[in-house]
Amino acid sequence: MPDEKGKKIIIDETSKILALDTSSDYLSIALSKGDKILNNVHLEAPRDHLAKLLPMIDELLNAAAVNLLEIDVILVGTGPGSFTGLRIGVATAEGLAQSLNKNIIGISSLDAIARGIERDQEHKYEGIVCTVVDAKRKEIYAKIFKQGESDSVPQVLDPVDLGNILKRYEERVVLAGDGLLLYGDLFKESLGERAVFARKELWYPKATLLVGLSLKKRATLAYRNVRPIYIRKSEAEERLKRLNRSQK
Amino acid sequence: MVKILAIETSCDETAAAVVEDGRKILSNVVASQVDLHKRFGGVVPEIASRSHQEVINPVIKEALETTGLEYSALDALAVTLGPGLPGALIVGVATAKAIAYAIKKPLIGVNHLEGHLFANYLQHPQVKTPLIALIVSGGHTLLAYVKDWGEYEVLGQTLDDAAGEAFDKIAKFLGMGYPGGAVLSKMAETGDPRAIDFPRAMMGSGDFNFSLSGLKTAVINYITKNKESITDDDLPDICASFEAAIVDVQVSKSIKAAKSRNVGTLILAGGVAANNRLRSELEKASKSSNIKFFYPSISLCTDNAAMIASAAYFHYLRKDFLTLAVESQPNMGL
Repeated sequence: MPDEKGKKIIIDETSKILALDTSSDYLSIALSKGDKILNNVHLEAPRDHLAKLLPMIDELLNAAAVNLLEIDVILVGTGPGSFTGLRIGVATAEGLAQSLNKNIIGISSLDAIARGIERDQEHKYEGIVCTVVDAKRKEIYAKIFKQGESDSVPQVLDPVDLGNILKRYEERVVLAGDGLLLYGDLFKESLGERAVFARKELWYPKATLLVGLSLKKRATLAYRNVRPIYIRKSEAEERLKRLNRSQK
Repeated sequence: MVKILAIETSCDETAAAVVEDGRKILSNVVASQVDLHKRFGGVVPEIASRSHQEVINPVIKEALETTGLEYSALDALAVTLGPGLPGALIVGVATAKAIAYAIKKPLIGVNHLEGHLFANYLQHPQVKTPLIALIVSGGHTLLAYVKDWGEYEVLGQTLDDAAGEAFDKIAKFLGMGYPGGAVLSKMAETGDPRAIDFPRAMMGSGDFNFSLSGLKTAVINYITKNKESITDDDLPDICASFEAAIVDVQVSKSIKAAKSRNVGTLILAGGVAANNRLRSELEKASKSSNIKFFYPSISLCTDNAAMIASAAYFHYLRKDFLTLAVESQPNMGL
């Protein structure tokens, strides 16, 4: 069933926001009033999102003395990333939203990573930004950003192909994501001096950064349901596609 | 009066239902994904998970709106914890947890197999425990002793393929498409079940286990060996003989189970409970052994959430509630 028609909502400094991202190995939740973060958690919890997400949301709300009913909008990182993680985050956000008549906004988790680099307090990064999130099966989820704005759609790419795309830019390329653990050397080789690795704390999408992204635009379309960004089809569909192609 | 909204997403059916006091179905919504999986000849887990995610909230909304109730009028939420496809179960469990938390109602976890038993409880007030239950579906084939609702002992189960799986695989081999089990059974109606003597595996094993992969191989070998002489006219006999080989073992073991536990009631549950031959043979055998036999209507045999809500009622009475930390259990046993 497709999304219902989006509803235009204004997010401003008075909006109470619950943001969550479960697309990576990190469980990331933030509670804010406008851009003021009231409480947040960002912890490594591989394969533990389903067990920990709601208890942690409950804990954050209680500690900040915010009632769930006061929340104006729920932000959810829609990936791309772990399929299972995405489903846990989106199902949780939708369950809360539909039973309490709240609005949800889906935001790409790759946008959150890029914003983390743009807004980093410790280090001033220069150049374009490219996310390199490990997509398994020897591929990565990549999205390129120029001066804080996206310069490509999110894609799943062979790291060698991505290296070739990035070579075409003249600027330095700030790379961030757990794909660096596997393909860092490959990018160093193809981009040479121009390859800059972001510090590790910036590799995983943070819910606090979803908050900032939601405030960037004055009016946003909100829904009762959102779609995870999978990019890839299921393996069965890809196999069938290859089969059909080879038979033509 | 206890009103429970239940969610079921263990395989390829996205379902939600509201049931009152375990028996009165106020709504029962099922969104089947069968068309999405057809071209792959079987359920593709990743496609199932994605589809559950897309339709689950509209399905829940419809189940609630049909009753005219608000969330606040519910007494509890229930969800299938397992067994089932991991990714599919996660969607239902994450959604149920979020709703239960948001509306501040207790959350109940139900075993999918227990749910199937309650399809009988829903429809037949005269069903009394203790009883023997035969659960047959695409994923399961097992015999259980139900001492009381909530107290189960698995007496035996399939050691390899589930009955529904065997039906679908043979149907696929015969070019009947997917899922072709029902097409095969329809074809079997006009055939002679004694035409070919396929093996009745484990008929005399002395336990309550089943094995179906040998039968599957025997049927495939038979067709391959006689490929030259078999015509379309032989198909009904092959289908009927295959079906009879499955049914005979299940009937024999079900009756033996009832006698071994000295119970006077037998219930049939699960998707394959829709099979006419299985129903009629169990009915005949029960009658001659003085056993009361029950089976649900077809709409409650296949996966649905009404049966989950019904099973959840007994958990509710026992205050058997889950915490927010609960996870799905893909390999959950009865």
